[in-house]
Amino acid sequence: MHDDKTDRLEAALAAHVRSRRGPAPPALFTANVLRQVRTAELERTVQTLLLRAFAPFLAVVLAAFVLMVATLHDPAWSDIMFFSKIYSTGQSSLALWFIG
Amino acid sequence: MDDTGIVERVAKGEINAYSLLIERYQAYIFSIVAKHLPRDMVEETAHECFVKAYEKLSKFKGGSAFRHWLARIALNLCADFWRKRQKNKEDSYDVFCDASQAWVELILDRASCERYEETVRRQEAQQLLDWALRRVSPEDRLVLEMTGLDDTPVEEAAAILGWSVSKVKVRAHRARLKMRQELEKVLAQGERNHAR
Repeated sequence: MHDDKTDRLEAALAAHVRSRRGPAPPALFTANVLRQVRTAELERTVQTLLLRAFAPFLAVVLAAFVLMVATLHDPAWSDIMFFSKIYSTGQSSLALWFIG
Repeated sequence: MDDTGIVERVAKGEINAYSLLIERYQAYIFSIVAKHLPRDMVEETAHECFVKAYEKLSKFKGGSAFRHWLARIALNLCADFWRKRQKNKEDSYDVFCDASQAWVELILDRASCERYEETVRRQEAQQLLDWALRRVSPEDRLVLEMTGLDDTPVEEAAAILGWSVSKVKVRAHRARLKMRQELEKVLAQGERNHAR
């Protein structure tokens, strides 16, 4: 008896789901989506360009930081190696710049 | 031109070709989203679905039909919506209120076909359905609405969700049992009200 009632209630809810009609897509739907897609694409391009432009600079900053930490840990090592390290880091950064 | 051809054109940078896919599938996506979300959320979610699909287009390998791939994105957005709702605990509707109980009694009353059709479209039906479905997980809710309530073939639901047929059947069965338990609570409450 109770099962029968649950069946009917469930059937009513199923009929409700089937009767649901969403709104029709508005006339400007395609244009609106395309506009946002173009904006997203433009943002992506700008991000890529910025990343390429700043990658060498970031590499130099990172290398300088690593070098600084290394010399802090072992000051004796820094006297001779410091300038040669900067020189080689500079070279690598320059190479990265060209690749970028 | 077939979908894969258009996807290739878009991937090569021809953004305008994407409008062909939007035109082709917007009605389909609107109808899917409308089955799972409140009416006022349909357009926004369909829009988000197409933007997201564009962003992920490079991941579409053509292994499944484009419409199923697109439908999966739409359904994931629907699940996200219900997940957020559950987190916010927007459970203010009381199914044991008089309006809701009156609707249940109307349904259980042996009404004529026309009256039944009219009754199931009422807002109380939507609210009771939402209340019962909120007791299952968002994924189970989608499966249950598709297979248990909307008669989508299990095979199609499996293709859209990217699940195996048996997984769809098991989860739909479990979710249906859970929903029936909740509906029985509503019926029990109605009987208690009558007894008073």
